[in-house]
Amino acid sequence: MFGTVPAGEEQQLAMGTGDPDSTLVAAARAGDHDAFAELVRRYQRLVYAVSYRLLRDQTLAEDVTQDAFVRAYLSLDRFRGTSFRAWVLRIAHNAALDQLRSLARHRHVPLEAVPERPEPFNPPASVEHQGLVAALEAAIAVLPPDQRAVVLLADVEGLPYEEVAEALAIPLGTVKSRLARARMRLRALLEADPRARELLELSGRLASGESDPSDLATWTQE
Amino acid sequence: MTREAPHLNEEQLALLASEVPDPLAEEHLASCERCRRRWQQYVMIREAMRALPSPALPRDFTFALERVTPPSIPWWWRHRFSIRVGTLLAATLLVMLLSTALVLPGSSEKRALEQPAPTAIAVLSSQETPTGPGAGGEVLPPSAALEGTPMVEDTATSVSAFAAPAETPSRATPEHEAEVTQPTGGFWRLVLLSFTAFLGIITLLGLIFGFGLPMIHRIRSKNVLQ
Repeated sequence: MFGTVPAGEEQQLAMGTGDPDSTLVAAARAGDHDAFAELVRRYQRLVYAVSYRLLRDQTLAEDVTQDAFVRAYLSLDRFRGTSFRAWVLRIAHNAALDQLRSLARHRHVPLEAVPERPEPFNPPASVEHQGLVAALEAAIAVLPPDQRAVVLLADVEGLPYEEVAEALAIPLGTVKSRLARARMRLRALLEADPRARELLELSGRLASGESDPSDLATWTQE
Repeated sequence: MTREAPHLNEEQLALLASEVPDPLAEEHLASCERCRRRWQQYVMIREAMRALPSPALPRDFTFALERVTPPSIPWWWRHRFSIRVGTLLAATLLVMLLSTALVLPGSSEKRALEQPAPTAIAVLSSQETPTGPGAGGEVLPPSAALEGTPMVEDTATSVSAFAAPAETPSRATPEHEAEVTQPTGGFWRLVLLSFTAFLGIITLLGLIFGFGLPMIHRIRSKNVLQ
């Protein structure tokens, strides 16, 4: 009954408009090391952040990030996708999943098992609203790996659905269903977390008209 | 009319956090506080996630590229397309040669040799014949079977005929005559056989280096990249 129209600033970055990295990729293919170094500089923060939040371990995330770029460099002639960013993320995601499987085997726990007390995420001390950030990070950390990957790419990093689908090698419909399930679970987790109560109460006030809608933008920018 | 519309389900509300609602959904959200409240929660959660600080980059990942050397590419991977074309050509030629060999005049001789000898049929017939009075014991000796001429003999005669097949008068066949008149036929047959064997080897090697090894190589690299 209620259809939806894809929108949002990230969604408008349609992949059909062409890969902005195509020039650098072509130069790197021709043997230009500087061009590939520029690609690495462009996406190392993104790849590391996704790997870190998937693995919750700095050393492993570093290894995965480095490995992803090395593999991408060595396999550049086989890159046939439409987005270099999605391709590198896909390599990193697969490497991270391998690490998670390895950890699960080593610890004798199944991959999908949800830890009762996830490893604490330590954001930089200078970040405001540390309680809420910690609550969000903890909630993301207990999501199953498939939902966590979709949330990290679509919501945390703001990639368009199409690119998320390409990075995770799943259909667009699966991206949406996983994203919806992940958000539903996140909301339930945050409702139970006192550190996130302010966020949900503020949204309630906004919805009932008790507060100025501009508070939302102000709050999220803080 | 709008107030009668059912509520948006949880999944729709969750997805609407990053999508522009269509007019119907927008109208419902404007009129239904329950749905609007839940939708706002999803919007807030998403906005909070978008505002999450990125973990600090521990180091620059570009330096290691200088030390990376591309792995050597095997020759069969570089030339796999040429090998495949050559293999298909060799396989086609091989099939054509084998098909031609089957319809050559010499092939009928082979088929005749592969068929059971008429003498064997005669012996089997004699063994199955009842030995009672009036049974007759009619069998066809090899020579008669070949010539198609009916003969009446007793069982002992037929067995002795089987025991001495060499006594059967041999006749010069047209193939034998051809061999006599064409002394170089054996040489060409040898050449043909060698060429066929060569094509067989080429096809086999082409299948290995043009198809088998590249397939394994591709599966391995796919596992690495996926």
